[in-house]
Amino acid sequence: MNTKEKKSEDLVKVPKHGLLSLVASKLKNRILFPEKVEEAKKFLKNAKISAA
Amino acid sequence: MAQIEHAYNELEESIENDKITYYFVSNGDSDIIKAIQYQYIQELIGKPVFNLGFGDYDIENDKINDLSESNNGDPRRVFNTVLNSIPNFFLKVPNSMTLVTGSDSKKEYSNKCKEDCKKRCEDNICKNAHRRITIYRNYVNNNFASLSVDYEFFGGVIQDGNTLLENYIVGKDYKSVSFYKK
Repeated sequence: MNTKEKKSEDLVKVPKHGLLSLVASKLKNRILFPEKVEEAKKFLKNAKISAA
Repeated sequence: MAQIEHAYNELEESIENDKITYYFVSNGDSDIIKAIQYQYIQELIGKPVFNLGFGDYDIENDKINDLSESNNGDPRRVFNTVLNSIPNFFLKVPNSMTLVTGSDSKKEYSNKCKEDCKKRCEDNICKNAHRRITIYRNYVNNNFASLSVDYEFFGGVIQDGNTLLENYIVGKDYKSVSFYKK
C-alpha cells in the first residue's frame, strides 16, 4: 500500500521588529482606512469651527 | 501629554507626504498586528487636519479591518498605545489638527450589526454603535484638565446639515473629537 507523505509548510520565525518593518514596507503609500477618510472629508466639508 | 504606561512600546513608524502610520503587535491571547494611521484630509483654520484611523492588519489576507473586535485580552494596553502615538504625531507635524470619529458610528455599521446581533435594541437605536468615539470622549472627559494644558479640544456636532467644531464641553455627546497642540 502506498502512503503519501504529508509535508507541512515550512515556518520561519521573524523577530517582531522585522515583521513590523516588513508590514510597513508592504503597506507603504496605502491609505489604510479609505472609507473613514472619505467620511472625514464629508464630515469636514463646509465645517465651521468656533473661536478658541 | 506624557507617555502613558502599560502600552506597547515597540512601534514601527512610517512617514509619508500626507500620512504617518504606526504599526505594533498586540500580544494578547494571540499576536495581532495593529495599525494607526494619521491621514491628511484638508486645511481648517490654517491647520492641516489629519484623520486618526485605527484597526487590525490581517497579514495573510492583506486586509485592514477597523470594525473588528479582536477581544485579544489587552484593550487598555492597545488603547494606551494609540494615545501614546498622538504626542509622537504632533512632534512630526506640530501645526496640525487631529480628527477622531468612530468607525462604528456610520449607519452601515448599525445595519450590519442587526444581522447577527443578540441585543434587543429598541427604536432602531443600535446599542453597539458609537462605542469607539465614546471611548475617546470618556478619556478626554476624565482627563480634560490635564490634557487642556497642552491641547485645544473641539467637539463635533451637526448643525443645519453642516459640521460645527465647537469648544469642547466635558460630558457632551459629540460625533467627533478634534484637537491641536497649543
